[in-house]
Amino acid sequence: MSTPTDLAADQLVRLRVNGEPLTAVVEPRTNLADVLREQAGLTGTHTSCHQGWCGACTVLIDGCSARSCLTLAVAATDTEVTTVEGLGEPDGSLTALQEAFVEHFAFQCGFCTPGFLVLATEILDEARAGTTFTRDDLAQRLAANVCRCTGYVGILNAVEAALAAQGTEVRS
Amino acid sequence: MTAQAERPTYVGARIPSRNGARFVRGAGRYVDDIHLPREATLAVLRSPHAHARIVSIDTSRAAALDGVLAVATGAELFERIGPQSYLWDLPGQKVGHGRPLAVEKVRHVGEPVVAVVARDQYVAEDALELIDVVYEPLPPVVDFDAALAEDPVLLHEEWGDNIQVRSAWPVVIPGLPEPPDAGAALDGAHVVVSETFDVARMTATSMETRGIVCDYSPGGPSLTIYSSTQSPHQIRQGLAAMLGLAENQIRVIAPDVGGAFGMKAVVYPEDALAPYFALQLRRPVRFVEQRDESFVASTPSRAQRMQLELGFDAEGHIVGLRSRYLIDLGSAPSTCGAGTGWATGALLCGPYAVPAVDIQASAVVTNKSPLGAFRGFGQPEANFPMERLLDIAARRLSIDPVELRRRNLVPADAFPYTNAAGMLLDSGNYAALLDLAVSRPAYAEALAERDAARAEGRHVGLGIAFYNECTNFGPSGVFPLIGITQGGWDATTVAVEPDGKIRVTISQTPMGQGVETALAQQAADAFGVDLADVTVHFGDTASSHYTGYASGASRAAGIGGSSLLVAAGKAKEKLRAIAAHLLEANEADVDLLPGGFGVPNSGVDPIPLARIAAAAYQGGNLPEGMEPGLEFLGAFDPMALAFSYGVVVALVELDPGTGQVTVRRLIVGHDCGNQLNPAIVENQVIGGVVQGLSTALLEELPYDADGRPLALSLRDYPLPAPTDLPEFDLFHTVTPTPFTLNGAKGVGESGVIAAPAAIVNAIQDALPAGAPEITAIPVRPERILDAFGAQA
Ligand code: FES
Ligand code: FES
Repeated sequence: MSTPTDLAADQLVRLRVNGEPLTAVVEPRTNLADVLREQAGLTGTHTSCHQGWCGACTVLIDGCSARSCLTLAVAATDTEVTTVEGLGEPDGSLTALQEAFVEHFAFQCGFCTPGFLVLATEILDEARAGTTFTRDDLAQRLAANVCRCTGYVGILNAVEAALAAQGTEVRS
Repeated sequence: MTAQAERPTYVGARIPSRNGARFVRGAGRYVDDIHLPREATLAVLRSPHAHARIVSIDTSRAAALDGVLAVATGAELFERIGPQSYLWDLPGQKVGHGRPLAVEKVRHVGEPVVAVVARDQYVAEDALELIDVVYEPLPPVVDFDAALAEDPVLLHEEWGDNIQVRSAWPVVIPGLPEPPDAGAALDGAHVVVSETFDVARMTATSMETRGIVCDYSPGGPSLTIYSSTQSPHQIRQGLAAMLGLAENQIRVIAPDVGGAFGMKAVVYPEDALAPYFALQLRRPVRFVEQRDESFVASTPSRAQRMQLELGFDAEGHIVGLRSRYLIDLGSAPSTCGAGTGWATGALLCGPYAVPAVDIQASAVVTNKSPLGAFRGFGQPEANFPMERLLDIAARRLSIDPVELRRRNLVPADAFPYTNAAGMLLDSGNYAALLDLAVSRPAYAEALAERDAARAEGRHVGLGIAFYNECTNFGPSGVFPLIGITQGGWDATTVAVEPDGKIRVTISQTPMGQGVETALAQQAADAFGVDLADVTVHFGDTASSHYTGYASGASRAAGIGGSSLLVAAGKAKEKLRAIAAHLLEANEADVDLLPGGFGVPNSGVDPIPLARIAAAAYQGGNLPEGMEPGLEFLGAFDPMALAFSYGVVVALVELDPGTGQVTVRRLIVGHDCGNQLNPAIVENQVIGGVVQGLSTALLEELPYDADGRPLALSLRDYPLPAPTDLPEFDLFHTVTPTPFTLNGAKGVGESGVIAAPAAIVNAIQDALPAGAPEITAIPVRPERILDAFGAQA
């Protein structure tokens, strides 16, 4: 009888993460989150459910937010992945969004923070491209991720402040 | 001590979290981020049955799988890993086998049956699928009725029944006067109201699941354990006993903890298995709980049914309280024992002056996963029945619900106040907070909104609930009386470094509550230094001093903070003595001034901390006989608990078509004594209130008739989302406790206690008159539809 580990031969994955090339040899069932965390050592991307429900593992794949726990690493071949570690300004300082998270107490234990930052980065990008958001829209979008500690108030305030800081005011 | 006139003080300021830069860069370091060379992964095969005898276990196919390093059953390990002891061991509490793996029979779905250690998580999970266990199913005991039936199926045959322990109040103490008779009081009451209330089983669901990475030192049986725990010293103590090691052979490190809420305060089976295999295999072993496992392997909480009876005189004063309640402990009780159930009874009177009580609790075992602690620890279970019944009584007595509460709150001049259940309430001005709440503009707006909506035919209601929160847990002298096997004190080390900077090592565990920031603020103020000159270290039994109870029960600010002040006081005494020596001044004349220690108004510049420290560490020029160095340990054991308190007002709207409840507004008034950092307090209260909102409306761990859990993923277990948020109006009053050195009370559990009752009171107010009383949480949409249907 075959055992589950004989399923298929290891495969080569080649992608760019935060601007740097990454190659890894993985079992086909390996997900992107595990490759980022364990092979690339980028532990900023957290996993909490491995089932797509919590959003802790959110990364940007070619600029779009995606759950890295549900993305097979082989399927991410030839993409550009951005993790929380890739969010700082080029000079190493924090982005306005990151600053806003600190200032507005948008975290307590910090575990959900990378996922929310990546998700909010996408929202900020969309706002820069012309999409407008109400506070309710923001709540809807941020509902993709779970925070068990903060009650979300700080997170919403931080994202709103970051939108204001880039000149894309939240409509009421 | 002279006030630091020119220097802004930090305590009381909204200082941002010290973890900010790390967390937003993704540089937090949680247990699962830690990998060690040669590490192996532990996975656990769990019972698919609620109740079954283990007939046979065949692990040979799993053991033969490539990459599997070890496989073991409960029978194989029984003599090798000793029993787990109870952290909360109530008088008369019966015990289970206490071993990490099931032996002979399983008592809940998810109970660990076989342990596998393999190359990685993927292989370990493959191996679990190759294990063959033959079970002989037994009838499951799924609820109170089955557990307490005549001639019931027994979980622990040797117990003779399914009751782990019973407790009762008042506690009769020999030599003291007989407590007043609640029965007589109720018999003579003008009005008696009574109802039975249910609070569902729910779970902490920290975003970081439990985890442990255990390193093995080849130099001897010694272990370094990284654990996502609230209580490093208790883990060390528990594991040393189970594994037969000395405590100093184990070092427990709690790195960043991704949420805990009480659930991570105790030893779990995997905490013993990982180090056991690390020692056996002579290599590091890790275990990270998977989310589906967390629903059966991490302790849930609540799960109580209470029959509550209140008697009132004609003016609406409570004359007596009677309660019979049951707590569903699940199968083999966790190290928390029946603690949460005990707390419910002890704290049932809450903020009210109840002259006579008759309370009896039974902690019952059923074939569900073992119950443990979760934010609030028995207090939401007490508050919900009490605050619901007060509303029911208010209608019967034709007294406004706010007024009824006002008449029964412990009056401000009565503190410190010992209530009929024997709890000493330290301080407060409850009525003032209540009056403030109803005089807020937000309250008037909420009332107007309700009335306007009603005029439009919408179903909008307003509800209120008052609470107090037992914090600063707690006086060590009292603990043995209530079955707690640890001390309740805390310790902090303060060192003035050779360059005059301050290093603080706390015994509290930061897990999101912000304790490292708040205590840094306190240290900076104590020494008159910049906040940036203070470092705070924590979470390592090799450096943090032993503490009886670590983080939990809202004790970091009050007790942790007070122990820091004790240490800082000792440091300052020595600094003053050295400064006096260097200044050739009289020690009594020297004080901490802006810029260092000096003689006020002497015209001589004070000596900066850095120079005093340099002298202290150089050692050659110190007062006669003084030891060199500047490290100090302070310990603090509170004289009594401290009760935070508050009020929640909820405005809700019901959709009679869908049964959906929308919480529109929450007014939250809160008093936790002196606030070290108001932003942290606010964050704690809001986070807790939102958990209280989902307690009222969403969260429940249901089981089917066979004892199988129906929630095994975040899809089945609804958590609050940003779209559930109401408009908040949060305000504070400040009533310092006399029982800590900094006047601080705890805040961690406040938010979650009364929000459920306030929301359900509002729901009842929104329902048509004549609708049945809502007495169970969570209030799912079906319940609302039923209520509308029932009155129509
Ligand atoms: S870990 Fe990917 S969504 Fe939860
Ligand atoms: S800060 Fe803890 S889960 Fe969001």
